[in-house]
Amino acid sequence: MKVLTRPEELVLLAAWRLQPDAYGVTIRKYVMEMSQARWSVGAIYDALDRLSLWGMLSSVQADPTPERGGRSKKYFALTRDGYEALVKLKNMHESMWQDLPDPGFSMQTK
Amino acid sequence: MNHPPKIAQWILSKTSREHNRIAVLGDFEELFYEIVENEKVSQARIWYWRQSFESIPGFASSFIYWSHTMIKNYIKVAIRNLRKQKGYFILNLIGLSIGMACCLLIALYVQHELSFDNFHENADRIYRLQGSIRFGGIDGEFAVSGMPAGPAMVDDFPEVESAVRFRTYGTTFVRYENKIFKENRIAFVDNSIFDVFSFPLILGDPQAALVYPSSVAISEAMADKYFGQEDPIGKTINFDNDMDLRVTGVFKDFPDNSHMQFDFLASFNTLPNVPIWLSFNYYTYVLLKKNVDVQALTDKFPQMIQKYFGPEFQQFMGKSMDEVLSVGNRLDFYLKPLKTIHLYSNVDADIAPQGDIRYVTIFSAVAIFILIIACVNFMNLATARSTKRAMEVGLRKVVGSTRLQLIAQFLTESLIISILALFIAIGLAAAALPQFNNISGKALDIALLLQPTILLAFISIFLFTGLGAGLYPAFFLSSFSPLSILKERTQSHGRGRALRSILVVFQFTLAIVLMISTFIVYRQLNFIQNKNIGYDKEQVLLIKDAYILNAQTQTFKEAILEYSGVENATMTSFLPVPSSRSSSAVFPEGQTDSKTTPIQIWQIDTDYFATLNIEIIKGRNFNKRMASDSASVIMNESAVRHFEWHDPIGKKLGTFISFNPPKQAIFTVIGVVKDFHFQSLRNQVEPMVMFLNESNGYLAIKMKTNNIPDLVDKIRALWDELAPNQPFEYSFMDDSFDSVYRVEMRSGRLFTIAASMAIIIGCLGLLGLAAFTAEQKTKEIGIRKVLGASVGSVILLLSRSFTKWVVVASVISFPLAWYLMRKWLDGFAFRVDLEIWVFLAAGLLTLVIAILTVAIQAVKAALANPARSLKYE
Repeated sequence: MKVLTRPEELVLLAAWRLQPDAYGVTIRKYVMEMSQARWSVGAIYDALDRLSLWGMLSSVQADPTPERGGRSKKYFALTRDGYEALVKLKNMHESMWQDLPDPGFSMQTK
Repeated sequence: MNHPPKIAQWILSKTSREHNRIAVLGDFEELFYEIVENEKVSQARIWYWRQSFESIPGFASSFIYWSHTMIKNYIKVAIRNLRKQKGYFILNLIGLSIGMACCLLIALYVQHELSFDNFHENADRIYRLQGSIRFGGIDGEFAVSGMPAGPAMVDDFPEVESAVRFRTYGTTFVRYENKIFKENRIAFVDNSIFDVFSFPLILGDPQAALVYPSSVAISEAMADKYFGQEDPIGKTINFDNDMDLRVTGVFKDFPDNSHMQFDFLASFNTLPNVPIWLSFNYYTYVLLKKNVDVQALTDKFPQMIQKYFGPEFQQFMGKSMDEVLSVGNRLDFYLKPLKTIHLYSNVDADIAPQGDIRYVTIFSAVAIFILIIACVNFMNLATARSTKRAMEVGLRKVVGSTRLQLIAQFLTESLIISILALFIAIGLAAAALPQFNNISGKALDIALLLQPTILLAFISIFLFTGLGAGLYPAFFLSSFSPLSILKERTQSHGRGRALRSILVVFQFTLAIVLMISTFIVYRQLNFIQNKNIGYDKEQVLLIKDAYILNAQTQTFKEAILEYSGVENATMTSFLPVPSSRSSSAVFPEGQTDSKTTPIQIWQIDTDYFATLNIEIIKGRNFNKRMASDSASVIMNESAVRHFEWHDPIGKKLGTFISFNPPKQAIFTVIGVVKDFHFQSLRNQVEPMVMFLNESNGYLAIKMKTNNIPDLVDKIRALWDELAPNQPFEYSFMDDSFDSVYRVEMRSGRLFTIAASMAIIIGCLGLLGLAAFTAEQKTKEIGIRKVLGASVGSVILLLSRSFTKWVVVASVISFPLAWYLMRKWLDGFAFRVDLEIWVFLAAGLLTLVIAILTVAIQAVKAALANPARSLKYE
């Protein structure tokens, strides 16, 4: 199974968290908030596209709404594959963090 | 004005991926209105614009990822499809690789022909001074000029930076110490050759190497041949036991693609000074200054001609130039650009035999024809098999494949075949290169395949074939409606049938045109070889350079006449095959003004006509015992017509034997011989007069023996005795005769190969179509057989439509081939008729080959057990 990149991981987590209201605008807002960085809409959709292609996200076209110029939203939802990829990533992280030696300089912990 | 900017929206809709375009635009609009609510509209618009641009990298990355994924998928599916249909795949592959290999080889040839003289740094500024004349109603173009022309060009015209003169030197025996070789790539040149042309010196001073008389620069190859490890500079070599020359330089061998080829460049100042413009024996090349208007320069030439030729006309002809020109004569000079000399010059007395743009064009066209025929196969097989793919197309469309994706899928398949064929073609081309060199008369190297232009040709051939052959099937197959496919399940095989017939007819039209051309070229060559040329070229042995024997030439001749098997022998430099030629102004006595066109003047001995079996139709032969015959002349029929004489015997002819001071000699006509072809059959027989005079370039021996090698050995032994250590060289007259038609022989062989390739490839296509039709009709054939059809009628059923196509192709190709061959034959003064049976034979032969091809499949289908075929499907 693929190891997700950080943008993919963030977008996937955002889609999970925001369920059932996860679509382009909300996902971008959440990711920007959490990462404290600017994200273009294109970058978000790049990650969404790839995650959909791999079957980690499913999507559904909602009914058109007038405030978007009559354009429908595309809602994303986490699939089992997506969930497994995230869990795997988390485990990988944790095992890599486990029992790390002293880096040799004074650590500042908050 | 509180809606999003239209242009930015348009950009977004173009850059975002189709499947989430609506969602993206919606998201943008939602965010836009959010900003409008909190801030100013203008700010929201700025945000929209900025955001659209910032999104492009994201969209692009997504696009690339998808394309990459799709292409991987296309290739995977394509390979599966090709594997599934091995026979069809192999047929295509063979056809395309043969077609491409032909194309590659011809591309190499054409590239080489077009590259002539491009390597000179100043190539664009170098021109050759050429003349164009009309004298006594005959037009001529020639590459030569007089000795003073070069310096005069530099002195008189500020536009001319430099000039080089060449005087070619013919066959020469070159000696260094005890090494003697016969050489013929020799010229006397001005030292400026090293400034004008890019023939770099490896040893020696380019400023001075050829300044002093009796100095010579030699090529690297010659330095190696004569001097080996020694340093050639300062050594003395000798030409013809006559002229000592000091080696002052070694130059790099002239490249293959130089229109002139020399191994020895001797200094021009070695030659005696001939300050006469009318002595056209020198080649003058000029280097113009940058940005010179060539036309303006050429416009000044008439003044130059007036200035220099005027006095000479007065001196040699006793009349002013205006008088000479007023009776319809003409003398002009012009500048021929260096790069056009090889392919576009058709002048008398060129510095070396040149190429011909017509053959370059014909070769290129043939290459493209063959490739097109191969592509047509591909298209036909692909569309014919459409039924097999229809299901796939239908299913793909139902599950959401777009038409564009289907086209991409089919194009991927054709591109894969195309690239595989290209690799095979490169291998084939490399393997066939030696053979090809044989036919084309070139020395092309495999390494040339790696030149940038040829690599470009690879890519173009690959794309042309892949896209050219794949595009139509791709559009055709992807156009199927899924509904009708899935509903009807089996389609009739009629889809695209009309176009398929047209394409097959087209293929065979090209193939038959090539075949007819082959037949006619060969018939013409055969005609030339068997035509009554007015002399007998069979069993004539030519011994070259008889003059080496010096005083013993007559002894040699007489001794040979004693040998059994020798009928006769004649000593002369002038033969009706390539050999010496000389021409001069000859006129009826006292009429220097009327017929002063130069005509052929040959020097022969008394045995000439008997040896070559030339018929004397009036008067008599020269007679050794008649002293007066040294002032006699024999002419050919054409000369009689030229002078408009009814009874030429006893008439007197005058010619100049020296120009400075002008001195005439008068000869009496004693005989007339039947016209014999001393030039190629491309020309009419020109007027010629023959004098009795010693001339010993060749000894021509008429033999009558079954054991030629034995006789040649005996003659060689005699030669070695009389001229020890001098090379003995001989040839047969009929071979020399054939060498004149080398270009035609070459094109004949090329046409044969091209026609066979075209037919082979065309038949490969037919084989595929026939196999497919047989497969389609498996059930029909089964039923027919059960109901009592014979094997013959089944074969007829399958081959009928193919036969029809070939017949139609024949009908179309006849006028086409007739027209093309008419044009080709126009180049010959003597030619075969275009007989209808040649056309019919070509058509019939193609038909037979096509029927045999189809019959293989038809017989297989017809013999199949009907019980099995009825179970089919």
